[in-house]
Amino acid sequence: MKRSRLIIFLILFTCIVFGLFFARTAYKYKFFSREPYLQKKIRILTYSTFVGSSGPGTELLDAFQAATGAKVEILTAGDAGLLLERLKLAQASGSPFDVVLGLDQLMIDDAAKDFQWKKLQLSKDSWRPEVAAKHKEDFAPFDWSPLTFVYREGSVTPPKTFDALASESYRNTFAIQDPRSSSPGLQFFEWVKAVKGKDTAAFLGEFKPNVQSIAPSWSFSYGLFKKNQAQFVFTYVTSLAFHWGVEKDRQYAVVNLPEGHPVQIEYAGIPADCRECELADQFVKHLLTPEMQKIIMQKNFMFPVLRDLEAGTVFAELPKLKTIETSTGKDLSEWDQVFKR
Amino acid sequence: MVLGFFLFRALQGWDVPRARGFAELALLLPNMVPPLFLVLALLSWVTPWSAFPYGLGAVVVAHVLMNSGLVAVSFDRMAHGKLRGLSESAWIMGSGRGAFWRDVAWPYLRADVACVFLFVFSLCFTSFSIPLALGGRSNATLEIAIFDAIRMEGRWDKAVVMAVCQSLMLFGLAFTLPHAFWPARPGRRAIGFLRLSGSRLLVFLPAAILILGWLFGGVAGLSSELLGPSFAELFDAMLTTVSIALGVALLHLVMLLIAAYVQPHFGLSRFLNGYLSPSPAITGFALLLLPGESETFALIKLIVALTLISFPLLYRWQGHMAVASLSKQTAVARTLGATWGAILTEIVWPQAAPQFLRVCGLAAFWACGDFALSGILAGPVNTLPLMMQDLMDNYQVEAAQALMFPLLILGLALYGVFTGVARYVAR
Repeated sequence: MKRSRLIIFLILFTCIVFGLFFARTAYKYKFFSREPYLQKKIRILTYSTFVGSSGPGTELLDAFQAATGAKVEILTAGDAGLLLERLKLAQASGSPFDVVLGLDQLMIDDAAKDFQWKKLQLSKDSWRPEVAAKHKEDFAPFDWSPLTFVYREGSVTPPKTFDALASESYRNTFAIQDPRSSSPGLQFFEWVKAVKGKDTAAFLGEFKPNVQSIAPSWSFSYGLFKKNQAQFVFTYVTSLAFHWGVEKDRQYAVVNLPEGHPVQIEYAGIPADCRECELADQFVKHLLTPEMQKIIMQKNFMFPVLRDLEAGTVFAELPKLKTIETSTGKDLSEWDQVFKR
Repeated sequence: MVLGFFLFRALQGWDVPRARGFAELALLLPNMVPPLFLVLALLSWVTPWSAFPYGLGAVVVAHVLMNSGLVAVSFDRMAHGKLRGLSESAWIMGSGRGAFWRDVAWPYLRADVACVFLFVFSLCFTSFSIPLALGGRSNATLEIAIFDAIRMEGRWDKAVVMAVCQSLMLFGLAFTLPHAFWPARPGRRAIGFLRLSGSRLLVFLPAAILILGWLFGGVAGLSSELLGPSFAELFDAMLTTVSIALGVALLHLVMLLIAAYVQPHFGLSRFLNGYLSPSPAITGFALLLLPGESETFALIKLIVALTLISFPLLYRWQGHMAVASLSKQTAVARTLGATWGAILTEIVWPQAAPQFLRVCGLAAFWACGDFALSGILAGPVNTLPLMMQDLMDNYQVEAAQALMFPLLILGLALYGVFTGVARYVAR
């Protein structure tokens, strides 16, 4: 009797678990169809936020599936910093990806060095000059934004020069990100290096007392800023589009410095060992159509690569910042020298 | 350990069994909830007044908050097992408390205290989610250094060497520990002689820090508009989270039954009592190497990874007691010629099922709140913690905090279901 009870319990428990899996799948796909198995399938690797509930991924992929009839398989690598490691694992296990989405310019040197990529034939005629100037032929840019500090107007007087960031009047006001774990954090460090050159460590030493927090990720530091803990947060200029456009709150503004600002560009690439290379090429070109660029702009809160798409949107009202060329290295010795003390 | 000692003495202020049970639950709450909740509570507490002190300090504070109650309850059980009679004698004979602790309690308890210390040490040594979220500057812990070696440098060789060193150290600890850290039965009455007078409410301090932190953060979130996910997406994420949690619970149950089935096994007991899970970062990435990348495989890998990470800890904390109490019976049954199946169904299951099901409930609760391993392994799968992360990445910090409540309710409901079934099985 006891034996049969245990067996019944285990069977029941297993059935509940499998039943839930089945219910989940059925709920997600509503009904099963043979169609997906007959279609061509493209495998895309990206970071999770891109295809998350509030990211642009789902709409982009649905539109691509509708346009081509191909099935899209999305795999994510957690955050963008893990994309290349995930790609390595995929190649090692013999299941390569057709498209990698979400590399930034700080990663594509490593990407070009460690992997073979297919050459992309793209017309740059309608691209924004800021992006066209940084184009690498193996990769297709799909969104971009300069980075700077965002603050609330009226709560603090913004610095007017780069050196003023280290001024005593801004003690304990800046929320920045760790360059080891956050791409904007690395952009900030590269920005300091680009502006201060050999004096980077000295500048960081003066800036250190003004740092309110070094968060492990952009979202944590932005959370501190939104909770009024930090007066300034290092973020994308396009963050204003969220506050102005979605929250309808115009008190947010950006620090505009004459020395120029770093730019983050997100790229897509097609690994040379792709299986559906033609479809992958179509997908990359699909990303650069005006309709898809608008979706990326509105859902990812980044500038589109194509010109003249912002008209009539809040993006057209965002301040135009001078940009600066930054390096793409990962030498953090000067950072460690100051912040690990 | 120090805070745990004071909490243990405060716990002696609660004499009524039901009140003691409640106080114990409050003490264990920070250890029972997934690390994500602890992180969010701490962030909500600190940020209204000052900058959050990311870094090693924050990591230490979070772990103190998490483990001090656990230490207090384990001290309480040890004291009830070994000191109850002695303390009464000492009180009757008019001994001072200092002399009692120095001359009587310490010689009796020091081996157990060492076990608790090593357990808490290994718990913090292998902690991944909290240093990842609160560590600030990287390399705060070895776990994060392993993660960074993969993420920043792409140095798998370095990561594996560090993980091997970590594992060797944990193996070393496993063989240093004289016995399991979690002592026998809970004490039903307080030991008045060991009470710290006027401090009985102190036992609620860790739980109060957590609950008030959730309220601070969550209430702000409830007033915000949830812009991102639709109801369908939210429902899908909840269903996925429950599926993962139940899958993890099922796997825990199977592993516990196997562990009980092969008892008595000295080597396995020693291993399970001393060893804590391998680096979550390495576990996550290693599982990515296995074939299968569809949603189903992502779910299975995530369930396996979460089980690998939480099983050794839960076994030591809760499972061992049930398994060990049966080892003599199973040895006798085996000597008398009982089959393995009969031992499992006639001896192990009827007696150990309630405790095993409680372990499953805790495993399900922890799995509900995982965001660190899910971030690596979930692939196309969306869970509630990943949705929270996603909202935070899309400027909606308040909305993300509001999602904490359904997640917490889901986790508690699963835990409640398992403890309910455990109670039914026990009857």
